[in-house]
Amino acid sequence: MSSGKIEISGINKFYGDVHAVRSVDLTIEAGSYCCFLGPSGCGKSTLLRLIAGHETPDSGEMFIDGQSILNTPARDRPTAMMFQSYALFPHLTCIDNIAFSERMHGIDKATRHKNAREILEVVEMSDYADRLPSQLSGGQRQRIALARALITKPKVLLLDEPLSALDENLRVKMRNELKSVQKLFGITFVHVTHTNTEAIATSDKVIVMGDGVVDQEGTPYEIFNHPSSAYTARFMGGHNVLVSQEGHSGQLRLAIGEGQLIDVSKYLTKKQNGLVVAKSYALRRDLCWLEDIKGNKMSAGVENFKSEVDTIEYEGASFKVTLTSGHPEKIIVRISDVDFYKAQFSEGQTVRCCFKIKNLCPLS
Amino acid sequence: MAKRIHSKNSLVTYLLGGFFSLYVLFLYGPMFIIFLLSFQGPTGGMTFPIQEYSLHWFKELFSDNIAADVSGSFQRSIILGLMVMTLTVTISVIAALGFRRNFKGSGIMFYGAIISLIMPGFLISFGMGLILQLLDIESTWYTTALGAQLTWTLPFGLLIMFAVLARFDRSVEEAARDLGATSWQTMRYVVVPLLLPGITGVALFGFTLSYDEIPRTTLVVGDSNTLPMEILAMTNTLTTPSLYAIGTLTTVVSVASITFALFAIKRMQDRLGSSQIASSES
Repeated sequence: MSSGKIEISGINKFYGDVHAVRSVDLTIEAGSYCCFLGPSGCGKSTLLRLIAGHETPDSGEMFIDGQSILNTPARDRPTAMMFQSYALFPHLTCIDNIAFSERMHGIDKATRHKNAREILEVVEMSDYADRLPSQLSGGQRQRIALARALITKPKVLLLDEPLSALDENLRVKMRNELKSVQKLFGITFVHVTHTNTEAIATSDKVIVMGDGVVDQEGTPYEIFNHPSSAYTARFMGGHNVLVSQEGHSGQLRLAIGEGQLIDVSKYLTKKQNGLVVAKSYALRRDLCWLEDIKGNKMSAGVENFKSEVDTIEYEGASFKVTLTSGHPEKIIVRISDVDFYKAQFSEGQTVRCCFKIKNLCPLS
Repeated sequence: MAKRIHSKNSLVTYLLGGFFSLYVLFLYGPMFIIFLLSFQGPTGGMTFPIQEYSLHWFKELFSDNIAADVSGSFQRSIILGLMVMTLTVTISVIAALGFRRNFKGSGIMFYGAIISLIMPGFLISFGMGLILQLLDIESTWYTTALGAQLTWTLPFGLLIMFAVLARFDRSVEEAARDLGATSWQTMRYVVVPLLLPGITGVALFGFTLSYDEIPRTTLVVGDSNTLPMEILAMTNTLTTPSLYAIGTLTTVVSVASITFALFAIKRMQDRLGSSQIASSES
């Protein structure tokens, strides 16, 4: 029923000597909400513009619903794009901005204004039909841009960092609205962002990109809980990355700091919850906890190491406690405010940092 | 403390204000004197005092007493100015849009176009005159002088368009294409409407630069003079306040065209503000 399945194979894009997109293969299911996530310059926007037809790839193929689109110019593709700056036409009122595409296709004024008013209602902007873009707030402009893209009845809506121009509260509100619009229209949304929370909150599928390649793809749950690489773990935030050192005779130790190692070899042999040998492991910051140095005996499957509290940062519902240990970056423990107030940790205090072995997520 | 800072500031304000007044006096004083003296009475001379105020020297200007073709040259200058304006706008807008593509050799082409700005105007006229003589082409104000003036106005127009396009957000063009507009429609409905104030600026420059151009026109104007050429010739022979009357008249034309253009730009921005689709509907 839903349409807008995107298939990308072997897409390459060079800008001079810069290899912006490197042999990307992707499948995005019809009617799904997909996020390209990565830092600036990772190729995510380029990939989006390649799908839209505003850039031409140097090699590869692209299909939407099984039809090759590479030879179709941008204006004829079944895609619509929402630009980062919205790119509303400053000389046209909201209703004429929205009616622009139908005007280009020679639809008479009465009809196209009627259609535009319908979609204005969907984005709850009916009262602003005759305003100019310059008379709107950021959030209102975004709604107009969304309406202008939707009126073309695209199979795929491409959103280039749609929320980056908004303030934090509005961003959270708008990402919910985008999600509900996507459900309402049942079309594929491809959303480019560098904010991991945005990607997790909106999408059915997250595609983490780095340096022109797809680093990992999966559901938000998979990406957050089982990052497959140190890159994704670091980019998603909320993880400590522990680098492992394989010794002689099958030993496995985790580097905690300079010269500080935890031997976890004994867990390798266990059949249940056995530890897989990997170059490094991700460990969620909120799944670590701190105990007093005098602390009790550890229960099974729990490892710990001594460290000193470096800094404490208040985050509202939680505290971010940075330890002096950690290699190459310092280990961070996120403690709920309730637990924190119970224990009253202070900077410079020596503590015992604990974690469960089963929470170590092997990284490639 | 705060009071001291305040008094120091106002001293600086007075000093800068005084300096600015001097600057304005220096800039417009001479023009104002000419303007006053052009209303000299029939018995008055070319210097102060003013005997009485009259329009005598303006009438004199268009009488047979003056051995100069004031109205004819004025007409020619206006027509030439409009021709230069049209060509400058057309060519520099298209060229500037073309330069955005960064084609091979665009750098050399750009400098080639700009370099005629710094060439002494009289030399251009001289060289052009020599070539025309070699090729046995007759000089007229509407052919050769037109060409000579374009060597001056085109680079100007091109530079203005570069500045206008530098502030132009190209994503609106992409948006137009994304929404199904052809290249021509993108140009017609998005690019040109948004550039129109800038284009009007180019038109204004084209006209005014042509209207008072002398060095490049001098040797290629042919038998019939443009207005500035005619005035230049008159300064040698004319010894009455009619000379000032010409100054006043030509200034009025310049000021009027600039005012008109600025007004047009303002109106266009207002109209761009309101619904443009409604007014351009077929």
